[in-house]
This record gives sequence, structure tokens and C-alpha cells, in this order.
Amino acid sequence: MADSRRYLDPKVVDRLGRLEVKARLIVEGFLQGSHRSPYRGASVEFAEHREYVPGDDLRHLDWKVYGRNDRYYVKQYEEETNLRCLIALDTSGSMRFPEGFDTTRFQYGTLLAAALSHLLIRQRDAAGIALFDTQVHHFVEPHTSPAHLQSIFRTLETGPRPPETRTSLLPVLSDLAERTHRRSLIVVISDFFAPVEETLRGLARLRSRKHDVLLLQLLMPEELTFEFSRNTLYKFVGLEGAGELIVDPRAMKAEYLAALEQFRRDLKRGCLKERIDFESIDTSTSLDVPLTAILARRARKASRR
Amino acid sequence: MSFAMTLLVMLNPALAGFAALLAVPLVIHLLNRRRYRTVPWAAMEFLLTAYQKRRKKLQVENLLLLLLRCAIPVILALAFARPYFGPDSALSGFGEPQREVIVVLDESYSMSRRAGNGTLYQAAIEQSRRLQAGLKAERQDRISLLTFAKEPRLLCVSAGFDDFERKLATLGRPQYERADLARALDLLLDEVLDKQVLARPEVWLLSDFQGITFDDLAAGAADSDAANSDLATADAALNGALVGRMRRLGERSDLHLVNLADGLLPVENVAVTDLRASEALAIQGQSLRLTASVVRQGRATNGSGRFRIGDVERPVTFRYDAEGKASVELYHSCTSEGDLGVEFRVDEDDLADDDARFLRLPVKRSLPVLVVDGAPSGGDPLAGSAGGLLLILDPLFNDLEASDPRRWFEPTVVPWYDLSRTKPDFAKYDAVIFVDVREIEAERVLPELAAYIDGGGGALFLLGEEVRAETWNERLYKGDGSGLMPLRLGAEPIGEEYDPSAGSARRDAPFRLEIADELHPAVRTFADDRRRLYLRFPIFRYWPFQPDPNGSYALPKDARVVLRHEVSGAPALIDHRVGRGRTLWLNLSGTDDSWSNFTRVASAYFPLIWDMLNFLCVRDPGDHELPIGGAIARGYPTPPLSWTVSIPGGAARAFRDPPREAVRGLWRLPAFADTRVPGLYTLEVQFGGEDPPATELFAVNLDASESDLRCLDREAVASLLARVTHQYHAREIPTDVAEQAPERQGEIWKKLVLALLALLLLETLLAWRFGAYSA
Repeated sequence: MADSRRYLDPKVVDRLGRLEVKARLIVEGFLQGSHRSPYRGASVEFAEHREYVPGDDLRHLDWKVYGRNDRYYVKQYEEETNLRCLIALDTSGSMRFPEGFDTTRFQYGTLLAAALSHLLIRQRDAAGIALFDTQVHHFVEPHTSPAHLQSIFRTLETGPRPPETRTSLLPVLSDLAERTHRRSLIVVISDFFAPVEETLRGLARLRSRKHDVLLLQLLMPEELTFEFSRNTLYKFVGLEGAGELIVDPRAMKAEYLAALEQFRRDLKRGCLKERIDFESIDTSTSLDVPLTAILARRARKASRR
Repeated sequence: MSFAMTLLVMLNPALAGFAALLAVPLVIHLLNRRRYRTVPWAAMEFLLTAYQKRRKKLQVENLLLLLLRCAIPVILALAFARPYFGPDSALSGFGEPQREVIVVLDESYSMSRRAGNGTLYQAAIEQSRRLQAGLKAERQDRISLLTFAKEPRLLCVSAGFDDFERKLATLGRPQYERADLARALDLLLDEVLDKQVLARPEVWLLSDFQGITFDDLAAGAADSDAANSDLATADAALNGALVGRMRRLGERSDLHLVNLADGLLPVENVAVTDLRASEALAIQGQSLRLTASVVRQGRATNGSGRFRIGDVERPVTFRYDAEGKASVELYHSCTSEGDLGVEFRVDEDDLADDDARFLRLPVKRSLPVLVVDGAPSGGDPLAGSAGGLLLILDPLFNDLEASDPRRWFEPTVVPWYDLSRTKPDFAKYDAVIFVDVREIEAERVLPELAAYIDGGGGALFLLGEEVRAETWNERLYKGDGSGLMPLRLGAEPIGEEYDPSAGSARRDAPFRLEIADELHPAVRTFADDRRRLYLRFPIFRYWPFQPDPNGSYALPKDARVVLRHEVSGAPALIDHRVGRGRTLWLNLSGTDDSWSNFTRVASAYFPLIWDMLNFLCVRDPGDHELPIGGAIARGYPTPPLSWTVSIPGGAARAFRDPPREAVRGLWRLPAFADTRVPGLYTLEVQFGGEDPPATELFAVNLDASESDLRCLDREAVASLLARVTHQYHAREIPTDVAEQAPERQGEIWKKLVLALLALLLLETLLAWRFGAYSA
């Protein structure tokens, strides 16, 4: 069982074969961990008992069973309505970063999207996928059928767009708002390297359709630290055709990190304003971190109902 | 090899070509621009934003680093090329810091010592020139010159080199004086240092470090050690002592001590330290003893020399005692009247000028003295009270048959009461003796006597029974000290006359004399422990001098007690200088046996009377024995027309500006102080009319202490000046501060190396600061 946890490491998972297998292993590894919680949610219709684990809502403890057996069980209920979740994954050129390395931002995002879809459909929620750059070029409607999972995986395996492909979130988010009629959880996985105002305007449109929105910003460790081992000049070639710059990175580090931090701060502040969850993820971290964030959010939503 | 440029000259110009290495950082810079790693980058927007912010700053930083890196090889190449600022360079001031040098040059007599081909003094002058050669006018260097012997001489202060060289050229030979370093240091500390521009000028003391010059220093150092327990007291004492002055000098300057005698061979020096005659004057045809004292430093056991008395030369040999001293004696009889020059000279050695000593000896045919007899007895002077005295002065007195005309004293006797009648010409006598005279006639005799003494005459007063004290006090004593008597006489004599019939009881408690002034010429015979016993003859009666109400004796300033009474301390013999002459007052009767045994003790009577008279007969004692620099100053009763001073070596200086008026009856010549060379100086004075010219000799001798050539060595100087900040140099000024080749004076390679190190440090700091080095 302990081996299953290592599949939460994106570098390990990335070396595996089909995306379907990867997604299943991730989900099993995730469920086997300390966060073993079925997240079945709360509903009016009782389904079964399950042994209490730390983290469960105490409101669902079955005190009668505790009185009889002196053991803690929680009551699980069938949801009345399944969760609809649309996962939008950025495929623009910047997602290819860092090209030539073990795990690119796009690969991390793909694993995350696949695992999430697998987890949702396994819980009988509806999961869909949308791939976008300047527009949505692949779209799979959310569905609860396990067979639907295969179509999600196939879509994800189409791979990223060419490096020069830019990101334009306003039309994409507007398009998603148009395409998704029912209230859904929309998870946007991207680096969000686009004008903040434009991004926030697109998100506002989603929110205007009463969608619940979660932004997962994927940032590579190189981008977060700006550390370069070699004592030489570097020629930075901008993805998405952002130009070139020959510079000594050590001389630019402080200003670069400040600019990046300012960008993240602006984005986060805008999200808070729109009541949008924002999670910035270091891609060197384990995959359960974003998964936990997503499922915790789902649980929160269920409890509000 | 060097080549001249407008501003900069280089000793190794070929090495300056390495300055082309400045291209190396440029090439590296350009190559680095082509060598980079390509990285695809997603967050390009932030990178571009950062670059926009830092672009100008980056460019400046890069340019600064590039310039620094280019400057490093250029400066390195320049340093190897050893550039200097040429004499015409306007930048010469940047070469070395300005120097202010004060040369303190010992010109005491001991610097005359031979060393190699010249003397130490010449070596000191040569070293001064070397020191000056190390200075540079373009750098605004300045030099001062201070010489010192007995007196410090500030020859130039912060002067240019030409002025310094001119002053140096005037230094011919050392002074014949002992060095007084304390006065030179006072002048330095109080005046010279204050006139320097720099806060810490260099002081170079060039000396032979003669031991006696630094005797005070040794004493000061000893005092400081002894007074360590009381630091405040020690410091106060030190500040006054020589070592204190040296310490202050060391604190205010870079003090360099150049010991010119360090490392010289052990001293072999013979010095004549004294030359004297047995009498203050010589009588024609009478023999007198000449004594020369010789001191030897070295290992010699025997010595030789020669007396030169007038034109007569008498070689002598002598043997040194264990302490290296010898006393050479010669008996000589002078044949002609007048001043006689005496010289004693030993064989010449490393220090030539102390090998001889000189003496002026006045020679007279005889000494005429006038004896005023206070108790004459008929027509025979020998029967009077002064009879014994006359025989002492002249054993052949009144012996008309005596064939030997030689006499020391030639006495003339006159009864006291005839003095006013005969009115003798005192000026004919070298001295006048008043023997137990009742009184001196006030109107005719006393003025003549006073004028005689004031003009240089001498008078001896022997006070006996006949003296009327009130008359003497009234006529000869003046409260302001200008009278002939130094003190008032008491009302009556003390003690009783000796009466053989009264038994011996009164002889058991007699008064006795003791010497009060050991050095006085009047008691010179008794100035040793053996002979002073002769003065212990019993005295039964004497005239007391009157003390003041406090019981003390307030003598005039020109009077001194020579003999005194043993128990009471009352004066017995007083020497009183009056004008240019003097009087001697003995409060005993010089003739009366009942007053004392003085006249019975020949070993006391004879020498004391002779010494007193000889002392009185010598006019202006000491005026003809001068130290170096002492002034020849004479006055004559006749106005001189011209005079000539002959200097040892044959040169003569004539003067024709006679004094315009007489002072107290004397026409005084202007003082001649140019007595810088030891030897016999001759003064010849021409008078108008039939007056014969006057010729006088003056003996000028150097300070005998300067002949002690024991010098301090490095260890001794270090020990004495342990608390003085200084640098010691043996014999020569170090080459790095003297005799710098002209092209080396403005060298800046040291500065360039320092600049290079500073640039390397700066480059490292900036590169780290600009991010070129990872932390």
C-alpha cells in the first residue's frame, strides 16, 4: 500500500505508460494516504456507514452506533445531485516550459487533470475537460460515466500546442461560460502568464454564470527561485514569442522575483475580490496538494448545501 | 636607461608595453557576450520588466567593471616600468610626500678628530650634503641647518637648497668649544620646529656623540630610573633634563641620530689640559716653575713634547701614570721684561688642536712695593714695626753691598706720618702695604690712594695695635660698599696681647684661622691638606669686623672672605675689589708678636705675605687668559691711535678707530672677540707723541674637557635614549634617504602597487555587489 503514495510524485508518474494508468495510480495513492476520505458528501439519502477517520465532519458521526459498539462511525449519504466539474487546461506555448526536462508544466497539468477526472468520476461526479490556448480547441462535456473517462484521457493526450502559441484567457473563459449551462465547478489549470486584468474579466464572466471557479496556477521551481548553476550569461528565449534577452541571471534575480511576486499578488487579490479560489502550485511538489485543495473545496460546497 | 617624456619618465620603458594587456579584459568581455546558454523561458514578461528596470544600472555597472578590469593590467605594467616624474614634470608633487629636514650639526671641538682622509666635521658636512641631495625642490622640500657648540647657530630655516649649500660652505672647521646640546635642543623645540610646515619634520642629528656632551643625558636617564616610583616627579625632572628634551623632540619629529664616530678605531689622543706658572708673574732673572698637565687616552706609556718660552724651545719627555696623566715641569728664568708667551706642545695626533696649551706670563724686573710703617723707629726701617716684613719681602733690604741685583719685591718704606708730607706717587708701586697704621690722612693721602686702587692698584692692610678704628671707619668705610673698607671695624680689638710673664694660661685658648676660599690666589700655598696646617698658628688678639645686627657679615658684592676665625667664623682676611684694583684686609697685626705667632711661624708668614702681595701686584688677573671666543678688551690711560691684533698663524688685523672718550680715566679699545683659534694673540697699541707702544699677549685655550674623545656607541645611545623615539645610524645616512639618483626621486611604483591592490579589492567588491559573484 505504501508504494501507492509514490505515484503522487509527478516525476515518478510521468515515467509510467498510459494516462489512464497514471490517473488511477495517482488516485489510489491519494486515497491510501492520511487523507483517506471518500468525500462522498452529504445527502438526505443514507448510503452506508464508514469508520471515522480524523478529518471527518463530526456532524456525520452516528452516535447510536457509538452507543452500541463504542466505536466511531460516520454516516454516508447518496448525493441527490452529482457535482459537475469542468477542468480547463492551458495548452499554450508557455505550458511547454521547461522544455527538455522530466516534467513540463503541461505534463504536470495533464496528470493533475487526469487524476482529478478519475477521482471525480470514481465518485460518480461529472467530469469534463477543455483544452485552450487563445481559444478552446478541445471540449469534452462533463459526464459521470466511467467510459467517459477514456474520452477525457484521449483529449488530454493530444499534447500541448506549439511554443509560439499564446495564451488569451478572456475569450477562453468567456467561451467556457457560454458552453457550461449548469452551475459547475470550473477548475482552470494554467500558468496564467497573461494580462491580469484580462484574466480577471474572463473569470468575472464565469462567476456571473454562478459557476464555482478554482484557479490552479502551475509554476516551475526555476521560475520561483530563478537560480542558475552556471557562472555565465544566459539567453532567455521567450515562449509564446515573447522575445529574447541575453543577461546574467544573477544580476536580474531580485527584480525578476519582485515582478513575479507582484503578478501573483495582483492575481490573487483579483480572485479574492471575485470570490474565486486561487491556488499557486510549485510543480516540484506532490500531486496530492492540488488534489486535496480541490476535494476540500468540493466538500465545502457540499456542506453549504 | 630612461627616456624623457613631458610628464612621466620610466626606468624600464619596454615593460610599459605590457599595458597592451588591457585588451585582455576587453576580449574576455566580448567573448563572454558570445558565450551563453540558451534557455526557453515562459515568465519572460517579468524578466523583461526586471531588465527594463535595471538596464541602465546594469550598463553602468558592466562598464565600470570593464574599466576596472582594463585598468588592472595597465597599472601592473606601469608599476613594472617604474615610472617617475621627471624634473620638469608638473606632476612631480605626486611622487613622494614633501620632506622637511632639519640638519643639526655638532661643531664642537671634538668633531675635529681625524677619520679617514678628513675630520669628523668634514664627514658631517658631507653627510649633510648627501641628505640634501635626497631632497627635491619640485616637491617643495625644505631644509634647515642648525649647528651647535657652546652656542647653537640657526643658519637657515626651511630654506632652499642653494641657501643651504651656501651656509654649508661657510662651515670651515669646528668651534673650539664644548657642545651644549641642551641649548641646541631648546632652540629646536622652541623655535625651529614651530616654523616647519609639516607636523613631523625630520631631524637629523649629526654628531660624534662625545661622552661628555651626553653626561647630562646619562644623569637624566638615571634620574628617571630612580624616580620611577613617582612618575609625576620623574616626568617633571625629565622635561628639564637633556633626555626630556630629546624625548620631546622624538615626539614632535622623526628623529635620526647619525653617530659619525661609531665604529672608529679606539681613541689615541694626547691632550695638554693645563699650563701654569708657579707664580702669577715672573721676575726678570728669577727662576719660576712651569707645569704642563697632559692626559692621554690610549695605551702609550711615555710621551714627549716641548716648551716654547718666547723664542726658546725646550724639549721634554715624560711618563704617564696609571691613570694616563702626566705632569711636566720646567724651571725657567726669564731674561727680558714684558709679556712672555709660553707654549707647551706634545706630538701631534688625531686631534691636533688640543696638543698644545698657551700661557701669557708677565715678566717684570721686580715688584716695587710701598710699605707704610705704622710704628717707625727712628731712621732705620728695619728697626720699626715693619722690619720683619721688609726682610721677608727683600732679604737684601738696605744691603748696599749685596752683589746680586735680583729681587722679587723691591720695598720702599715710609713712616705713616710722612705719607701726607711726602705724598708719594702710588702709581710707581705695584702694591702698598699699610702696617699697623694709626690713620690715613683724609685730604691729601686718601684721595690719592683711592684713585690708585681704583685705577688697578693693590693695597694690603695689616691691622695692629696702633689702628684707630673710629677714624678708619669714618674715612674708609662707606655703607654702599664703595669705600676701601669692606666692613666696619669693631670698637676695639678682641683678646689680649701675649705676655710671656703671665704664664701659659692665656695661650691655651687662642684663636685660630681656617681657609674660607680654597681657590683664592692669596692662600694658594695653603690649599692642600698638608700645608693648611701652617695656618693654625695661635692668635691672641685681633681687630674684629663689625657684623650687622643679625650677627652676619654683609659684605659688598665685590668682596669675599679668604680666611676666617675657626670658631666664630668671623672674617680674618677679606679680599675687596675696588674699581679695577683691590684691597686685602688682614685683621691681625702683621708685625706684632704679642698679637699672634704669625710672624714667628715662617712657614705661614712668608708664603702668606708673598701670596697676598703677588696677588695684589698682578694687574687684571685672568684678563689675559681667555677661552675660545673670549674677548680681548683693554683700556689705557693714554688715548691710542691704532692697534693691531696678531692671530696665531701669522695673520694680523689692524684697527684705526680709536675710542673717542675715556671712561673712568681709561681709553678702552673695542673688544676683539674673534678668538676662535687657540694660541697666543698679540695686541700692539700705538700711542701718539713720545709714548712708547704697548704690547700685550693673550693666551687663548680651548676647553680641556673637549679632549675627552670617549664617544657613545650604539648600545650606549640605545640605553640612554630608551624612552626616546629615534632611529640610529652609524657613520652614514642610509642610502635610501640620501643620494637618491635624481630619477629615483619621483618614483611612484609603490603608489602604483597600492593602487593596483586597491583596484583588485574594488573590483571584487563591485563584482560581488553587482551580482557577478554568487554569494
